[in-house]
Amino acid sequence: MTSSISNIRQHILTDILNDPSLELAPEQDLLLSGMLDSVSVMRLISWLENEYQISVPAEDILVEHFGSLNQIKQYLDTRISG
Amino acid sequence: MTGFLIQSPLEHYANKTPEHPALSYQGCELSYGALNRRSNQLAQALLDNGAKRQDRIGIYMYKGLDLGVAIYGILKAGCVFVPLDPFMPADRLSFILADCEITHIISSDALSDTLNILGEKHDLNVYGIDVDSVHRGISWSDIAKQPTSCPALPMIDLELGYIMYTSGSTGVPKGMMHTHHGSITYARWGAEHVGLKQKDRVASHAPLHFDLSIFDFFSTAQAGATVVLVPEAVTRFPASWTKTIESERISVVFTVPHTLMSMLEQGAIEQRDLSSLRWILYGGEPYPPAKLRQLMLTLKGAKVTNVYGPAEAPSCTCYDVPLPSEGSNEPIPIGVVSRNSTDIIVDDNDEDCRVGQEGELCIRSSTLMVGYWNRPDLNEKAYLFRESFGPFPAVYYRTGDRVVRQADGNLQFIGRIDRMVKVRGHRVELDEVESVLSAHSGVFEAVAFTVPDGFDSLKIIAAVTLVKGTVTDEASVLRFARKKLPLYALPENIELLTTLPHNSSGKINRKLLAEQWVADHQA
Repeated sequence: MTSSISNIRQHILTDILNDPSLELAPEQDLLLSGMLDSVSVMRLISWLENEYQISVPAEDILVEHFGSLNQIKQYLDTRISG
Repeated sequence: MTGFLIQSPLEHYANKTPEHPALSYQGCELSYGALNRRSNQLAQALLDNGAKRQDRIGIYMYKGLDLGVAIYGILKAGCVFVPLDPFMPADRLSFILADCEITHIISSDALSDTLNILGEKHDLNVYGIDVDSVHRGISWSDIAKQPTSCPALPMIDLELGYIMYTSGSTGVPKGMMHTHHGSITYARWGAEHVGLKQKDRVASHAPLHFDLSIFDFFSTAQAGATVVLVPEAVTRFPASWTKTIESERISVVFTVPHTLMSMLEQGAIEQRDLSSLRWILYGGEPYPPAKLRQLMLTLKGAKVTNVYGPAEAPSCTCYDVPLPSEGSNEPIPIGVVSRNSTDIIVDDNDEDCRVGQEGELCIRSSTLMVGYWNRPDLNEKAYLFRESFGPFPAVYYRTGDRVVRQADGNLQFIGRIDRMVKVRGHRVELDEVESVLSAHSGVFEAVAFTVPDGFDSLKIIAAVTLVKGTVTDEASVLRFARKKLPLYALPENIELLTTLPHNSSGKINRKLLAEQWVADHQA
């Protein structure tokens, strides 16, 4: 299974933020835009683990992997193919 | 030794150790000498553009070296800094700008979208931006042309240094006014308690609008030490945060339990060298003893202090925590009043409580706020007066916290006397959340309550009933609330109900709603 930005975007907007009408661009900063806080980051990661059947080790939960939709996809692709 | 004003230590160390770093941010540093010069220039620019003594000036910025320049520049101009949370919705910001009549803001291009929205309603001078926008913009390169000398202004420590806004139960935030004197007293307490030295590197983990930041910036300056500014994004990622502690050699941190607990669970701590950490202070919420034991066993070299104090009376009590014994569920005390503070515990009739009797904690200290900005209604209720000598009563701040004095002298926190809650260290008035939800045109009645969030803190849930004939959904109500409330105060879920349960006295039964919610969501 490959990751898809639209799938992750939909999860963030619908299940985490409860508001599908919000806009979220692939390069948008998820943290500085105030979309995600520390608890929603953890919720997102456990969903990603389930959805893509991977495990995300603690040392990988870094700003540079989860700062935007693009970065999340890039990180997931390395995990899925690896 | 270092003077009476918040900026006095900066000026002292700019003379004594001008090359020593005052601030560090992602590998870049600003020395005491440079910080002093740059803040003098900002002060000159503010005065040039019409800022007057004790004007309120907004600081609307993300973490960065300029943040320090903003704080000290405002103080050196004889003005009052007002931290504005960069994650706050524009409506809320707009309220604060109007409430304390802000016409000058220090900001950055990164926030120009919101600045433009604010510029439509407010007449603003914006400092620190490079783009031309609807505002009168003054760039850092303009500011750098100002003289590097400090404006010569007669100032004393009874003047206001900053106003911090917090959740207010009537639906709008309220601003706490703090003087230089109060702030310096708090800063001195912190520097002395932790024994700060010039070589210390103190994290600025909490945002500026959170009063822990007063310790971070001003206690550190008392010792001529270095503040390490932690980027907001890093604070959301435990493993990034532990990486920062290691690479920046952070020695002291003051934060909320949530940060420390997630650092232990998801911080990849076994791969980090955190031996630089010598003192951890926490506050804002109780720390579960078993989790604290785990933290202390992992970070053996660090002392731990539980610091208690509402932002109106910051750090008024503290407790140096010994290692909690294995299996202990005994809550960690909030300790005894800090140096230069005194306390009484009063019952419902404002009579003194006995040892072992629960009551409201009231604090007398020079760290107390002088009152809420523009809110005589609140100021009337905020203080307790006790006869002292002649016409001068002793003034105590009513914390609204129920405590008990144990036989060993330590205070134990019991709970609130009102409906303020703590969400991962953030103060939220549930009445404010309800008042915001009720303002939605389709909402008839709204209640907010808290349930455990699964991370040893609480989350906010709301239930609303709709005005007859209204068609709206949860998302619409949430969208509305998102424009008014900060993220941490936003209900995680809003349930649309046909009726709300009431108890025998006719009040909405919030306890039942919370119990039902927990039962429904356990499966």
